[in-house]
Amino acid sequence: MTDQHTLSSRSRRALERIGDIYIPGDEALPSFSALGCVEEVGRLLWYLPASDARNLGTLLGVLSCLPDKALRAFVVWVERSPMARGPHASTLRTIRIGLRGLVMSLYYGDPTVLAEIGGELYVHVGSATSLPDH
Amino acid sequence: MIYDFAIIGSGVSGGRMAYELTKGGARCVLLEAGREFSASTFPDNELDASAQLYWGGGVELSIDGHLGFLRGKCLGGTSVVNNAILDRFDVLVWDDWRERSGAAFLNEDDMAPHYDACAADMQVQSISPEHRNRNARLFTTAFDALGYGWRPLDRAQSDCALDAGSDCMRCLGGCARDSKQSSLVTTIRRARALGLEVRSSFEVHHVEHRADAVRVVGAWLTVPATVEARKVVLAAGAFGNSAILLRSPHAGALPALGRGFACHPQYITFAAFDEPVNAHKGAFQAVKAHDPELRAAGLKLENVFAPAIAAAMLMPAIGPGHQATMRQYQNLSAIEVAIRDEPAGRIRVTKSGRIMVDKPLTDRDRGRLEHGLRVIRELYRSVGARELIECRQSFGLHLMGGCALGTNAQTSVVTPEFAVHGLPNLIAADSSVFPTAPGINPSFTIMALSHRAARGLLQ
Repeated sequence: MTDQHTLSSRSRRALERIGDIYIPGDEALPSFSALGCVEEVGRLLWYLPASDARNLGTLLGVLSCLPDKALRAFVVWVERSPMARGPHASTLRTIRIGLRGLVMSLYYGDPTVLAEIGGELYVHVGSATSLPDH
Repeated sequence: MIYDFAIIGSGVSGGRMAYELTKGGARCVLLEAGREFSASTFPDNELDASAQLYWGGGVELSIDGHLGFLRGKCLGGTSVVNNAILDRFDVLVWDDWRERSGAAFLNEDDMAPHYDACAADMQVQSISPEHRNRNARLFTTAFDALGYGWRPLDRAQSDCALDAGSDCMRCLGGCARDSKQSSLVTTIRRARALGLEVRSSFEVHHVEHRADAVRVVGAWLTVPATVEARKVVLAAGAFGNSAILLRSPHAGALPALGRGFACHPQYITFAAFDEPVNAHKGAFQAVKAHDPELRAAGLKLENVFAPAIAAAMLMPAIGPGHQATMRQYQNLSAIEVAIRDEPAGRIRVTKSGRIMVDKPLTDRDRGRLEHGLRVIRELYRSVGARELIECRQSFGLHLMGGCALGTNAQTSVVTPEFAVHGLPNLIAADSSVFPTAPGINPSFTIMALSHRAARGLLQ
């Protein structure tokens, strides 16, 4: 991570690999990396507390060193953390929310994905009695 | 310049206090840590709204990572991002609170005029039967099938343009047509017209209490700043009020400070149907459970749904299974159980001043959760749901306690006159003063308590 509001290219690549584990793509929707939504990560990082953004950069830096199989095993491990007990369980749950938060926000915040799943939201602005513009 | 009142926090309580005190002739300044948005500048998508309008860039976690907490960080506070539900507390809560606190005014009769006065200042509506979406109709059909009671929700809204196709869920990121009666467009707007000063992006670190005034210490637009006032109203919620006091020189004299935190932990269950439900479209959250058996069991079943990012976060699977579930987003319905939890949580601050929240679920809480999930399974079975997806990631949206109201300075922080024990120039009347979790949406009662507190200060 170069500063609080950007990710290094290595960390971005790690995030794309993690994103593809969560969202591998199918016949209707692209994978996380194919969507290219990692380009929007600054919209989230800007508003994270500085210490959280630093920790995220460190985590992604470490995870970038893992081969694919080990990275997948790590994601599966943290995904079991909601029911986990023991000294590392709270850290794993925090990592899980952090990684999921980034991946799901970037992917399902994308307008093309929203349109594909029918999740768009509309608010009529102006007089309630005027004709809708959609 | 010494103000009569500095009000920290601009949500339901801060807005109400600012309005009542300014209207009463006091010179007031309102301090809000977040930025000021308006109907035309609220983010128009979930990603930006979540990042920009909430503390922590979207969510804050309990120490053990089991609970996520959502609290608004913008002018108008959580009243900008909540669903504008107005519920009065019932005798179950008032009896419990009166017994625990020793405060005689905590009863239906004494609080009624304060509820009435606040309601008179807002537009209050219910969603008409023809505007209930299929998610609401599934909720009522299932409740009828199992013999549980329900009723339409009272909502603080003026003109949602549902016939023009508005989707109320968008307004969880701020209402783009000023229909939602948040403090931003009601009390704060009126108080500004009467002379209230507002400082957004002013983050308070601590307060210093003196016999004749209070010094508020923080940063305005990241530059160190102070404000002096004869009295300070703490309206920053359970986390904010507790943290400000814990960082203040007087914390050691308040043994109950930060204790007794509760948050109505919420667990959502999605149900997949063969036909589209479109739970995210139209009037979001139209009805509620209204059933003595569920109430007595400490269960609050809610007609809710989640926008796409939140739904994706909550879905337990990963990979193709997760993606397949999200592809049927339009066919999903949801019911949530919020439990009336025991006030076993504790709010602390680290040496660097960061908030840390310990919120374990007690055995009784876990029992209530399992009971609620069983009821939801039965409800969805009765209306032919194809598949249930139970989400074990819980969120707390109603953050309560930490500065409990009571007569005993050893077990409470705020007196029945809403002053901090031993620090008469510090006032609080928001959700931080709740002695226990009510199991009922807290917004309307926060308004009513703040109305009462402001009237007391003006006398």
